Amino acid sequence: MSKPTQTAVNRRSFLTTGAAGAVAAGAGVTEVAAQGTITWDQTADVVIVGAGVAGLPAAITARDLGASVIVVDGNYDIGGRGMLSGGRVQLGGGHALQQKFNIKDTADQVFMDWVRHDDGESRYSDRDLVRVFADENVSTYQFLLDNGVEFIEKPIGPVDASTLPRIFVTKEWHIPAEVVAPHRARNGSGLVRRLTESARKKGATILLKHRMTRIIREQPMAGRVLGIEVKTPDRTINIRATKGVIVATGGHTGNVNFRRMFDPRLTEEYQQACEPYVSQDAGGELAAMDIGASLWATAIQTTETGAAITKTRHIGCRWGYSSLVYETDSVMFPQAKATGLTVKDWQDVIMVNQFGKRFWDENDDSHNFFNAAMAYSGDKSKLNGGGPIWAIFDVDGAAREKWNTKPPNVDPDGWFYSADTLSELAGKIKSQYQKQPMPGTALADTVTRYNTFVAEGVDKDFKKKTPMFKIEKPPFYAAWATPILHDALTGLRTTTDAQVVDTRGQVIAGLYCAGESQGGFAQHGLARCLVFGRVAGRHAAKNSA
Amino acid sequence: MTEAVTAAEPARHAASLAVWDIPAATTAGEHFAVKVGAKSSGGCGLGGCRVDVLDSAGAVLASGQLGAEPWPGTDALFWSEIELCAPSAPGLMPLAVRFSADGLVEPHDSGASPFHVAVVAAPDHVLTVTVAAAGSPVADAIVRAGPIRATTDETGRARLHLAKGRHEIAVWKTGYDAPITPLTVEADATLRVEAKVLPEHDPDAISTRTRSGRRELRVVGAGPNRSQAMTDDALPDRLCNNPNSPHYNEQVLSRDVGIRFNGKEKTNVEEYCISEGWIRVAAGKALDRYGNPLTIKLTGAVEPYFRDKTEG
Repeated sequence: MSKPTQTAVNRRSFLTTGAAGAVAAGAGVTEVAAQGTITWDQTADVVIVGAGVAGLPAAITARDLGASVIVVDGNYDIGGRGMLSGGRVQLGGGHALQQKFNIKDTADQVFMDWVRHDDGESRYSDRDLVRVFADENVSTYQFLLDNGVEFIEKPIGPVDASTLPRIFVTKEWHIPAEVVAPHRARNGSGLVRRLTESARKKGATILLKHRMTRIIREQPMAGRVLGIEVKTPDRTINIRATKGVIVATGGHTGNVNFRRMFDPRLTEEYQQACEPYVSQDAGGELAAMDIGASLWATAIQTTETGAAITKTRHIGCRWGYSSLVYETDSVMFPQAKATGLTVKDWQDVIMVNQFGKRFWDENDDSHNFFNAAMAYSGDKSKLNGGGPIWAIFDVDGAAREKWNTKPPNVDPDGWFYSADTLSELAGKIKSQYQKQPMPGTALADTVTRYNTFVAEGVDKDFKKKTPMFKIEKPPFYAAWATPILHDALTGLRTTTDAQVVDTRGQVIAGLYCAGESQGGFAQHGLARCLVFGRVAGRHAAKNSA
Repeated sequence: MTEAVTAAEPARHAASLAVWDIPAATTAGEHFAVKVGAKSSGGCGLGGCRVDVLDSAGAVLASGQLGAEPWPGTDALFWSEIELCAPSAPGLMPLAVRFSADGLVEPHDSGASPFHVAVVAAPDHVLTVTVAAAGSPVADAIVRAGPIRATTDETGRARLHLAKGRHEIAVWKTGYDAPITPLTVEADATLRVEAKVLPEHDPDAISTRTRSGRRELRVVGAGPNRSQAMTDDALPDRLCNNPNSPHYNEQVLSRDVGIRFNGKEKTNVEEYCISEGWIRVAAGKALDRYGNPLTIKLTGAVEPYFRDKTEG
């Protein structure tokens, strides 16, 4: 996609002048705005940033209402994090498939569940947004069916704040080569591939390897949003949006500087789920904040509920997130480099910090564990964050777990080490996040002490329930096991129409946000992204400004 | 177990040590063997070098000569098996191994690496432990009383040889959870341990817990119905609102159960027992690793009642 294609331009939008009185813009048309002369390379009524779970329904909805649509995505392929999702769509309200299973649900019940005061995931929600979400559940489910999305007919739940089974899983895309992480039930691939198919069929233009770098407003902090600046593989272009720009960029978790606004502990050693396919780089949030946008419901970041941080489930590789594994035939494998060793029983390892010290009960997966992992490690050069966490085990532990400790299961280039003795193991650990060598005596002392706990059956330090197995038989192993980050939980403030609101509480005309980048409603997963993608696409398409 | 000594000068190598195949428990006064291995930081062949096992006072208890071949699976861990005798007093015996670099061309630094051996009293009795879950025997579960271990056979049985006295019996198998049972052994005895099968964790259900609303004794949950015959308004002596508990009773819990404890209304009761006079209440918001609330046991007068009855 070296040359941008000229898209169909809505004639009516040509005749509409911007609020600043600038001339109407079309492809190749130069426009004089307060911030200088802008040459528009392309134009559409609605320009969407991000071809993922929020951007795709926004595109389809806007096209259904007759608007011309350009979707840009920085990645080489569509889908964003939705491509790697398990495909669990938590829509309720009494839709057709719920009815088939005699699940009696209503929009009101969806609302009441997701404003529950007794759950951290719902307590801090913006209830105005939840109301819209609840009211749009049934129509969003129907929208998915209408656009070719297929579901496995098996209800799951209730989970999270829901009191009724609402999760139905989409069918995985049928071509394994086009599932970025094949063989691992990445059913979200079916959702985003089907929606892409439908969006293209309906005439939306999707421009890949087009990364939005700036949102262009009439004046730096005032007036309408006119369009976006985009970096393509070979140049920078401007795309005019006559009706609206929709930010559907997928959140901020991968941006260390940005995420530390909410929790200073979240320093660089914490990897992010879905990398290296996609990064939640806060691109949408930053571009919107640069023109005055506000964040919303940031309290949700600190509730210590949900899945914003999880234990590394596949140790010994960089990105060992939960259900996501890039197998050797994945297009991402050359970057992911290893599939990891999947931990079945945390009795088989101990976890130590960069100084070789245990810090918590390895069996625990509550936030107590994460708080301990992120506690001050004693590193005088790095006071924030807990530093790297390593799982330490011996050859017997590997045998109990039936692990093959060789590549491609592990990545010896910074994420997995083996040695004949524990002190040798400590000395071998070299990671970009390990700021100093792990003291061999400290690791050996930690293991010696733990082995006495195993002999006595009592963990005197961290109360691990009946510690079972000594770590004594060579060779010994150290595997990357630092917690990994996922949900963004907060983002840009919007109205119930998904229009972005500035720090003074005023709507930024022509700017929308949906999905992980939208603040105010921290439900995990796909449903709220789909719903507010539709809401944004609809309002932007109808926008006559 | 192992210890690294940083070389004071770059020319000096260090030897680090490992001790393994230490018996989980050894009976007082009996002989046992451990394996000791040494690795040179400079990759030197250490075959033929001497290793000593020391007691806590530093006296040499036994010595061995490292073999010529490294331990399988290692790069260059030269090893030896050393026989030792357990002392007569039970307890954790602190020992250490020391590497002697005598005779090596390259000088090697090495400290002593500590390890422990669990010494137990000679057994008097056999405790036969049967592990079952949902009515079926659990095989290959490890049953332990401190350092003394046995593994269950296909009938779910394991035999522990124990000295007289107090023991805590713990059971572990991946995918199961079982209570720790304290008991006093005075004769051969049997013990039945009910383990619960942990639900298969769906890695895509990444929320830290599922919603069952188990905050009060009022939710009808899906689970095995273990209710016993009872009259309509009789409340059991013991009741738990965790569906995995043997004291869970769906029939009773399908009605709204209220608890008066020492005369006061309690709304956070997870389990009660009238005859033993205690309740377990949720300890704040803390959850255990299975997502169940952590509980605190309070003792006092327990009066359960059906709310629907009192409310009309």
